[in-house]
Amino acid sequence: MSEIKCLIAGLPSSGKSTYIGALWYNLRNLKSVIDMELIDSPENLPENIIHLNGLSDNWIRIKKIDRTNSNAADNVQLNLVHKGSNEIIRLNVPDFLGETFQSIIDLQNDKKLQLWCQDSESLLYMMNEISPGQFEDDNHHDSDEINDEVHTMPDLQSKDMTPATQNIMILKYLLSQKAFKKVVIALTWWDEATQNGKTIVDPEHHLQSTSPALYNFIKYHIPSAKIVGISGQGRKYIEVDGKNPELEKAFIDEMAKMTKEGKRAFVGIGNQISYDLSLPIHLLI
Amino acid sequence: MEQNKIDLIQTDSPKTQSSAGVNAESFLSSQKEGSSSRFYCDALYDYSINNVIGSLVPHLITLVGFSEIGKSTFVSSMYHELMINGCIGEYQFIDSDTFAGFERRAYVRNAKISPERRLARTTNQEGYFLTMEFIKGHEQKKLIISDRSGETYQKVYTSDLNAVKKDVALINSPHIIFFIDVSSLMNDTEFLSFKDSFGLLLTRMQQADVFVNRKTLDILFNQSDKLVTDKQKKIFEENAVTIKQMIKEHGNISQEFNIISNRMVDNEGLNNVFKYMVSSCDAFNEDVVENVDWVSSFLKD
Repeated sequence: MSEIKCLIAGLPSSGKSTYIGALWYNLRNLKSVIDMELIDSPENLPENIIHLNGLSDNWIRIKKIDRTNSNAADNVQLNLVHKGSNEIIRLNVPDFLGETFQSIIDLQNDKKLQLWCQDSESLLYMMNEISPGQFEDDNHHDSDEINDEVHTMPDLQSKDMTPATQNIMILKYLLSQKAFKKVVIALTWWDEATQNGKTIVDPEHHLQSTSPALYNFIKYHIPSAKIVGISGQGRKYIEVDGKNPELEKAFIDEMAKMTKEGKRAFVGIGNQISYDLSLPIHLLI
Repeated sequence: MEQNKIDLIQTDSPKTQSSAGVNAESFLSSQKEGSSSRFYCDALYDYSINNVIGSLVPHLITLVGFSEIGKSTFVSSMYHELMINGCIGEYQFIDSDTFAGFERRAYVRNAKISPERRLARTTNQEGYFLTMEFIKGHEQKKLIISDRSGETYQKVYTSDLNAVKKDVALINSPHIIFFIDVSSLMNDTEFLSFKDSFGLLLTRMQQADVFVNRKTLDILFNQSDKLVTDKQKKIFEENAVTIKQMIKEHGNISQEFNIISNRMVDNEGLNNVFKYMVSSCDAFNEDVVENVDWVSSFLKD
């Protein structure tokens, strides 16, 4: 069995845990739509699946996964076989908090992340926000009108930086730590960019047109990187708080149906949409 | 600063960053007491700029000007242009060692033009070297912009010759752009005060041998939209002639620009300066001679 160590990285809310939870569920329950199969014989079952089960349970119940206050990385190990090649892979993935990656910008490096980075052969980098930012005077002329009221300005925080810059800096750091053999760049929340998968959007073209400098950085430094879209949730969740019970029930029922049929979470590659969530992993092998 | 230069001379370990990265550990260790770098890829100082110089000969443009005249606003506008378009002309923007330095300037810029004015400007504690890497065709280019605080030029350099003499980058810079706020020239009282300070700065620069090495000198008048009345325009034109004459005593003026640095939309003048600065990487790469190669001078100093 070959072992692939893969680092899944991305800022907070980039969808890392949602993807892992959805993948874990689909591997076990939707074998017909997935090209990789979990080897779930007793001797190959991952030693600790509490974290994986927790993630997939939230995913099934359409609950947002908020790990902000949880402890640091939870390691995930998946033993997989590729149906086409019969290649058996042990996939080791640390599920780091997005804050761990954010803190790279603040020069607060996590030793565990650094070690994982140096030990990983491949990188799945997830981004939900890629905007290059906007200036108030991008679209109108009256920006130089200044109010006389003077305040002391709060210090710049890393989260105040544009998403494109934050992602470039984190990628820059990760690439400085390791020359990864394979890199997949995943644009997450892909349901929003594609109207829940109904509109065909090429992820690479989307990145290039939405955030040209971020695209340039990736193409220059990692020309072989594959750029895909991932919708882990399947679509944007509505607030389930009992205020609109009919709407909430209809939404939950529809999501459950999609989950059951294997048509909820999806991956965009080129001009194709696939419900095989293992595709990004396959691209890393 | 002097201690930092000594550190620079003594540093002979190989560079640790890969082609795409600034090593965070070496970056952290290069932070000195009193510096305000809080971020990965923050703006750089004399002692840290050498850590990011690779095999490319960069082109250094030094922005010289007093406080509150829009140097950092200009720089952040240039960065924003690159982020939203990915290029300036034929030059594809591919990397920087100082992303956070640009973001810091953009943050200050946007706070200044937001509905409530805030006290915000580049201080003399902050890093001042900002880098941009481009690809044109198959050629890679690196541009370094020195964006020191206006306070340094206005208060420190006009009064302390030794401080200017220690600014090796300024002395060896092949390219200086003098930033001048139009409002300093459209009113005679303001002009007299500005002329006095600017004259002192030029004298200090001359005494520090800044003009000994061959340099391209440009002049940029910022906030040209402030010139509204005919009277203002007339006074500005007269005073601008005087300022240009003061600079010409130290070298020919290559280019003159009139811009509005805090307006992104419909601003051809600003875009022309961006194009000029980026394309100057080409012109100077062909023309680098050892005594104006500021990187070599840093390393040998």
